[in-house]
Amino acid sequence: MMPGPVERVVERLAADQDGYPFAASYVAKLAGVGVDAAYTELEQLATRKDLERHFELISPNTGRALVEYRLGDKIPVGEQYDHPDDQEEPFVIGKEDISVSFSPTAKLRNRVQQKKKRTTLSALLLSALLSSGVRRIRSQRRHTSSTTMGL
Amino acid sequence: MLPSTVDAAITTYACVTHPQDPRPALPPVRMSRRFPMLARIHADYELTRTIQATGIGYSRAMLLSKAPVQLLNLSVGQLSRIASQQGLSPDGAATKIDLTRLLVEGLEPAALRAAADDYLYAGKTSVTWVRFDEGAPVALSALKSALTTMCGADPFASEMRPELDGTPRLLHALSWHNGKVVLTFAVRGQVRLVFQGYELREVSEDFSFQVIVRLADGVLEIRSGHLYAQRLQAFMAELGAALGRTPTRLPIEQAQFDALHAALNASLRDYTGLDGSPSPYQTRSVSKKQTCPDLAVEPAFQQDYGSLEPVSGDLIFAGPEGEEMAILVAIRTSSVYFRSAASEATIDLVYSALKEVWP
Repeated sequence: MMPGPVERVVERLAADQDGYPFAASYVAKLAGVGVDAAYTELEQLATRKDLERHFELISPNTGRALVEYRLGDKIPVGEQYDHPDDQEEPFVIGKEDISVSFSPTAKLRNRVQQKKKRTTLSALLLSALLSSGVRRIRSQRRHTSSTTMGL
Repeated sequence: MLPSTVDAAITTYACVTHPQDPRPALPPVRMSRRFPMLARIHADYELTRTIQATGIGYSRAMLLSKAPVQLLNLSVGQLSRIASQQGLSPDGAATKIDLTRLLVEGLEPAALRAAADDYLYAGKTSVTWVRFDEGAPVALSALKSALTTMCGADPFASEMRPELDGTPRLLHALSWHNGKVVLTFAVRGQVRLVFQGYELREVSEDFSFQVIVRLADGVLEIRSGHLYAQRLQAFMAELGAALGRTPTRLPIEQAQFDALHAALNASLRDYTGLDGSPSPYQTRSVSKKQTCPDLAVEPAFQQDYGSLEPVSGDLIFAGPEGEEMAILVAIRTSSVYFRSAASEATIDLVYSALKEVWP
């Protein structure tokens, strides 16, 4: 089955990026789909273990990432967040303060690398075939032209 | 329970603490003699320490008569301007407390209220809006009845002194002008350790703030930071139930931001957005050059920052009296912070612009 636009963008990011997570909104923009649709598909890719989910607490006041939660961690929604060094204004954590982002897993990276190698190999083979074909046609033309001139 | 090192320090300095009242005794008697207003504050403070010790409860922010406290909300420039307009001669080097003292001692309470009225509940403040249902008007009598039921006493008639904790408590209600009702709340803030006079003491930062009810629009305007706006949710729900209405927090999203920018003829000065791309940056912030009139209309800004998820933007605009005003529009908290000490008219101006585009 051909990958959809979101999966194609994810594969491109897995091939190019340095491993930093990306947001569903970013993928949605690149894929030309809505954020909800992109998020649903990213979740499916995460379930397939192609992507890793990252849960972060984002300060509603400054946008800074304050805490990263791992899968299975309790996210303290409804509790007050107090920065240990008072660098952030305290706030009550809401669901909207939790950001979910995704990064490609090693599994996806390997697959993308393999695919890239295969694609490169196919391209090289195609190119070799094409150039040998061109050579053959040229030599045939040369032969035809010299025969004509000999007449 | 105090950490052991702090506990040891307290033992070393042989500090006598007051278990019922964590606030320290005030030492500056000499200063109080020099400044009569501070002497009054001192006396009030000590009086309520005694009240607290008897378990009646107190609200430190309400110890002073309301005017001086609210005057401290104004900038030095505005206090100085009010003093000059009232024929008082402020010293060029006067501090905020000097100017407050000058106004309180130089003017009758009624004259002071009239002079500073437009700033008393405004100033440098964060504002968040909550609307009941679709904004149908709330009758003053209905509000009074709902609040009386909730508080067990008429907050318009008396100042209440509920025991303070982390949830804002209503202290007083005032029917103001232009169809506005002022609700004054107090909340117990963080308990901090202070080192004063060779003693470590625990001091709670109690805090008082206002909620303005715009009766005609069924809107409550919370003039406080994000945390206390969040902590008022239970009160809003209870008030809504008492009025038979549903409170909804009004959003400030890109549409409201754009409308505010256009309606105020404002200039975008600073911008912060979340970077969702696979980059090492969580947020990216940018500020404009002095020669750039408005970031928002710059193609380069749109190209470089247009894809970010907005966190906040600083808008500069001319206030009702032509003065330059700066507001921080915080999109993730749906609030507006007035960086310049705003007058009531300025807050009205911003509210009117937002009202046009709220769903």
